[in-house]
Amino acid sequence: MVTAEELAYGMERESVAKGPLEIFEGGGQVVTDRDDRQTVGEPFVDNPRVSARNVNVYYDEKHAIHDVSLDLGENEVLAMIGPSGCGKSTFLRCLNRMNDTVASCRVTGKINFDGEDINSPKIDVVPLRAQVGMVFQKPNPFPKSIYENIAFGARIHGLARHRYELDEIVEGSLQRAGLWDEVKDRLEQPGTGLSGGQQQRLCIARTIAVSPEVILMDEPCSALDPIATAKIEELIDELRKQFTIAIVTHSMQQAARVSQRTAYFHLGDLIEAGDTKTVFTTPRHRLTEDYITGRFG
Amino acid sequence: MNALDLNHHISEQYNTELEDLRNKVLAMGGLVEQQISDALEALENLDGELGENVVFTDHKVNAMEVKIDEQCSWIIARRQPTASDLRLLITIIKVITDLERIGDEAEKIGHMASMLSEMKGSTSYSQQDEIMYMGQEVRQMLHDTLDAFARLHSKDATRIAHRDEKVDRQYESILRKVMTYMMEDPRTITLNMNIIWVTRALERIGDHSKNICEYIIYMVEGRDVRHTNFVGLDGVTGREDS
Repeated sequence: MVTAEELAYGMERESVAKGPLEIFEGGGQVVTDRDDRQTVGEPFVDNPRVSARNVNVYYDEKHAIHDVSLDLGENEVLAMIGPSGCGKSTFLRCLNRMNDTVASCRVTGKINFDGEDINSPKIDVVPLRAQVGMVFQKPNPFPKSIYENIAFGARIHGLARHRYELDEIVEGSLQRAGLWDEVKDRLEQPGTGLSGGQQQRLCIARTIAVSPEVILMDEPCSALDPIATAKIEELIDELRKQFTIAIVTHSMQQAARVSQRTAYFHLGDLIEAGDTKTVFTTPRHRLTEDYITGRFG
Repeated sequence: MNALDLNHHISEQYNTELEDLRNKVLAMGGLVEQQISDALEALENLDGELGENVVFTDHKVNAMEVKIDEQCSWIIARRQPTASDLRLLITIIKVITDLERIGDEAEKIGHMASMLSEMKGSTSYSQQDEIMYMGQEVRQMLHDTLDAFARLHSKDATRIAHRDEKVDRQYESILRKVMTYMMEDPRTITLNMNIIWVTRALERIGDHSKNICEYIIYMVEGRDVRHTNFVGLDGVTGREDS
């Protein structure tokens, strides 16, 4: 605490400091008011890998996502952050039509991937979900051997004709997921016997085994300890060289660490999107500022 | 709308920590300001005792710098601040470094005052009025800078920062005159060298105040204006001392 003597020096100004802080009138970095729900920042990039335009999602009558337009750039990690129920996971699930599995869910708007709207009825979701893979919050390996966990997808998508090709895919995927050295001697053992962090990396290996272009991650580290988390984050940075990644996370530090761009969602609106560096040092919307600094609005 | 809002964290404790920190910076600023005032008074009246007192008190400024620094690192480790909180902490860490250096300059002036007072028969010295004028100018500049910090007022900070140019001009003017004196009468070189040190210290205080103003702009607006010939928002340059 400040001592009495020190206080005496600062006393006069302290009363100033405690007075109303709304004196500043210049257009500082935070410009957008809490009530304004227009997206600020830079939601679009020059050569998007996936581009969503005016996406709305309804669960029965409930309007869960309002008119979200956002791009995923090539070889970038886009972090989506926001409080629970803000629609970030729902939006993520739109990107490979996982919401189709929810009966009450309706999605409108355009999501372009490889020049086609993925919501078009012509699109076959099975190859789509191979191209846009997903990693979930809780590691969910198949109740099969480690080898089969990886080989399964490659086999059903017809990526390997011979056993040796399959072996190559399994080894390559495990290596890229940073798991090979830990499991190479026990490929026939069940995947469920691995530790949580290893299981999650197995799931990532399984996703990349079918050569996706985009990987969606829904809180991939929230069930993991800090060491396993650090390994996954390291892996995400490595995978970025080959894939485009969108990650939903509750950890703002994680978003700051792994992503190049960040999107902040609030009650179904995309509030702000842009450079991770900008969002975390000089956000342009008051709501983003409130959330990342831990304030209530 | 205000870019900085130090309250309203979900964690009440965090609010308290930041506020306490800010008060400490203001207290440190107040102490440094007092040091300058004392040093100037010692210089004006050639009061050796008061001059020595300024030298002696400098350790308090140093101690406050260390304490605030420590508190900043603890908050960073504990809270992982972002956005305006992060800018506030970065600013504080930098501000206190400049404040501490201003303290050192005041210490130098205090020391010079006591040296001048011991010089035989010197009840006054060349350029005394001009130096006192410059001294009041930098003292006021620091005072206003600390007010801008307390009020989070970046427009004021822009105006104040440009006052440093005037201080620089005063410094050059005094320097030129003192050099003439030294050329005229080499016996005054020792005395006049001391006067140059004092003027130099005052000029440095102006520079440090300007630095603090730049940090305030960064804290409030998120713009880094260091090493630029910056203008404020809506074109405020402050050049006319308006």
